[in-house]
Amino acid sequence: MSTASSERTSVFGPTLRFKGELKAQEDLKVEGRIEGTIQHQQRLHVGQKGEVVATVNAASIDVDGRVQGDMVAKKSIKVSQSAVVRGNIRAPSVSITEGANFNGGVTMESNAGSSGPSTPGASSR
Amino acid sequence: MSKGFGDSKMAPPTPAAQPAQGAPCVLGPTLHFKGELYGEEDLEFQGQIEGSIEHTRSLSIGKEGGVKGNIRAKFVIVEGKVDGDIYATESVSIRQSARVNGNIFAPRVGIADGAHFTGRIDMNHKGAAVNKPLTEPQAERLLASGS
Repeated sequence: MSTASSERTSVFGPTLRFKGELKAQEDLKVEGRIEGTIQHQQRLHVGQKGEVVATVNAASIDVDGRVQGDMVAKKSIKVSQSAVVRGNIRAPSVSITEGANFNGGVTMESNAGSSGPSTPGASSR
Repeated sequence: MSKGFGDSKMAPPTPAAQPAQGAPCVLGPTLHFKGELYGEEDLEFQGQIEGSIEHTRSLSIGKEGGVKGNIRAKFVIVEGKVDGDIYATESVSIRQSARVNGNIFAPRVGIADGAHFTGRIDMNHKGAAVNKPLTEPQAERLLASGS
């Protein structure tokens, strides 16, 4: 695994369980279980032992574990081979590795970054 | 560019017992939890939590950490802010930088010079956190009997 790079990542360890709302502004790796909602400003990594039953918002999301719930990312969502995902995902860039277990909808929206009520000025007449 | 990961940060003060199995899990300062947190591994908490923490091992509330709610663990080390009761089956250590408002129930309690603490300490209450959580009326009775 790529845990050798000692970045300042918070790790939500494998025995931790949390129920409720989680907000964060730093990279986080989840190896435990989180139920509720996650509002994240950075990269969220759901590790292989991670289990998330929540609505997830983040800049980018990497899933190696289990996620049940909708995920919205401003940049990208990566669903790896070991992942099990049930829910809808929305991001400008989405990748799902062959072998992943994914059930849900995918929406690729380039302007998902603006969370405000942005008027899509696509059609100019 | 050297990340102060090892020594520059306070080394996780593992009281006795635990031969640390690798690095303890660290939850950083921008994490905000609202709800219940359970854990069974050594944990260094630098974030904010509104709600309860139920822990079976060593729990350290770092300098930047803040807890509004009750804490249950085996060992509790506080360097940050705690508003709520602390129940430990082994010990509670309030460090110099800590600000604690609440009651402490543990067989061993240490409060460092310089720490800010308001509340009561009960050292005859061991085991309560293991067997069953103290109910509100029980806690109140305990407090009432003391005063």
